[in-house]
Amino acid sequence: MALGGYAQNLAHIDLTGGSVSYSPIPENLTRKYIGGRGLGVKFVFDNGPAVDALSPDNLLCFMNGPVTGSPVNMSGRLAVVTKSPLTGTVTDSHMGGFAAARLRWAGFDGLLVKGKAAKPTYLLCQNGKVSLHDASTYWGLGVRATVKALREVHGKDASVICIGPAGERLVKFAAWMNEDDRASGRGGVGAVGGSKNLKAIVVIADKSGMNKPTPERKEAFDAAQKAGLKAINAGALTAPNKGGLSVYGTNVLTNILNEAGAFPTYNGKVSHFDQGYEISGEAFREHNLAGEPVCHACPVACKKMIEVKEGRWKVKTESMEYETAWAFGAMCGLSDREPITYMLDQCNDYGLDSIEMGVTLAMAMEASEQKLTSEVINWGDAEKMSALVKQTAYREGIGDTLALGAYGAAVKLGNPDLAMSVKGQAIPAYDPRGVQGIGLGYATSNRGACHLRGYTIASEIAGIPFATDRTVTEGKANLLKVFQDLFAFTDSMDVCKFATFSEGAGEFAAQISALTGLEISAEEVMQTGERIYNLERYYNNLNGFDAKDDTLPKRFFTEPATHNSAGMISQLPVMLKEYYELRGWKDGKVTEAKLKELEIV
Amino acid sequence: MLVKLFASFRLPGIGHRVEVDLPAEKVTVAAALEALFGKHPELRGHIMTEDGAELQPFVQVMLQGRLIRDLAGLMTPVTQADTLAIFPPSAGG
Repeated sequence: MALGGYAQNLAHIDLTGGSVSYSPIPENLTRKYIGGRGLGVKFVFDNGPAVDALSPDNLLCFMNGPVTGSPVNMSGRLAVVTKSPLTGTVTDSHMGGFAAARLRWAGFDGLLVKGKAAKPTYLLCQNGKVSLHDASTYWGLGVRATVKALREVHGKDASVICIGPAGERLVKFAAWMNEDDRASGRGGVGAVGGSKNLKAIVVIADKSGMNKPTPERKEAFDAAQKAGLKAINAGALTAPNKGGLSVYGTNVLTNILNEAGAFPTYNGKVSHFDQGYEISGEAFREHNLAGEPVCHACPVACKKMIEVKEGRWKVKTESMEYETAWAFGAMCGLSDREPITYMLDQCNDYGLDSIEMGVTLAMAMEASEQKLTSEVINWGDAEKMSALVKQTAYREGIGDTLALGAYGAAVKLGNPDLAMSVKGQAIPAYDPRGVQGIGLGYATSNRGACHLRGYTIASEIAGIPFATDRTVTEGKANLLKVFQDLFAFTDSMDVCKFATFSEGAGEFAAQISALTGLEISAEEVMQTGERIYNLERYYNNLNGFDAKDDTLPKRFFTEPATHNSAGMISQLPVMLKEYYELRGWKDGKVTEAKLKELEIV
Repeated sequence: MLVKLFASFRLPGIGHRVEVDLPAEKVTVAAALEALFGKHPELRGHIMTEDGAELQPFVQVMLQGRLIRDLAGLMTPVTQADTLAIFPPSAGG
């Protein structure tokens, strides 16, 4: 049957041969994997799990979901899906802004890139076709200069998704960035681009409207979209210009987690930052706010453009997220907003994941304390930090070691326990000692430490969809599984995580059913998410990952938290046992029975 | 006691830290909030429901970093030496 929503156009790009072919999405896959993350993971799985992440054989997918670019609110997302050079797992990393919607309006469900170009190359995507172009002129440029130069050629309305110097040099946590400073930051997806000599993707959207997603059942779709918008507008957490997320951005969390004593500080040696208020969303709004940009179809506007108006750190950039403020701030013992802002801008222009960069610097500072580094790196030394960010992007001096990420660099420096990482990827800004469920989330995330696989913080702190006690382990396994399965689905639609603060499986089922014509119930939303989560886990299992890898940095088991979580350590083993039982996994591995039950094999 | 007010609950010209005198050495969170409202009545409607019986949905109150919803709610005992932190509905990621 013809499905609404989809462009039914996947571009298969062979950079080695310089050829492009096109296909619709195989009919049997749409219902099972939807699009975005789910479909991307399926394609990466079918490409073979043994592939070297930085080899021409790795598949690099830029995937829209069926709702991307539609009127569904918060649907301006695409997923970059590939095998991660940072973790060796499958990974997906999503960007916002307008690039994803424009890719859909240019007539694509996704771009599947393989091979390696003989010289730097960029893709031009327009009217459902992809052409390959010489990018030698742009190789070596930062993200902003690349965007500017390519827009001079292709027009100011073109979206430009590109890598910076970090991706070109295969920094293991390099990002894909777009013209709005939105990043597919995690997992080193930008390095995969660099390994293929792929500098940029230019997207020219059709303006006639002919490529916009067409709903199969328009009346029902309009109603489902309106119901979603109503929920977002009425939601205490998402309400535009009212909810904390809209007014202060994600960095509204700093004071909350810091007050709880669940804010990893000084590389997690303690869990409270005495100067935390200085780097909070409240302080940035009061002193540095320069604008509040949005993404496609988003009424929330959580992005916060910030500015340092004069002096050494003069810069204007977006968006100061909770994670970035924490990574360069509390984790490194730095409370000065100005250099933090500057380093965010460096990451945006070099194309670096700011979480991994900050945590890597924090690791290096503790390594320096232990005399493991060739040079002194003091806590909170802003000048040194900024210099190291640049050295990392260009792989100069000790930056060549830091370019391996916190874990890889800690191994090289001689003490892996200094890396606050899981499966080789740095933790985000929630301390797993003070918030128990998120620790289980980090440990079992299929892409390395991550809060966005299963955001239990919503329940453990914000109280949605129901409140749980952050200090207890009971019920956290089931809570996490629900979040993981739901998010695997919403990442496949592809809508922003924050939509889930006000909408649930029922709303998403109504939207996708009316759009595509596939009748998908709320139960099937969860089952589809479970299928995707298990496929990812199976991919990782085939790469040797199992229960031994579902763990946390040693510190969180042996060094108690401080301040208002004083004395707490992670109780991961208790939760993990229950989690495996709920998942039906044995020793962290997907069983044959589960693969069959979910129709993965 | 010290009451910390965050995000949109901060007070213009005062900031986010307010000292509140409790009516007795040991009272409930509800009584501590009443003492706060006595000093800053403009906060009441943002924090409490109209009938004054409950916190507004998703308003979070922490006592020494523990959410009072995980303790005994508004009936949780507090002393002058404790710190309360109050947050409007917030989440991020």
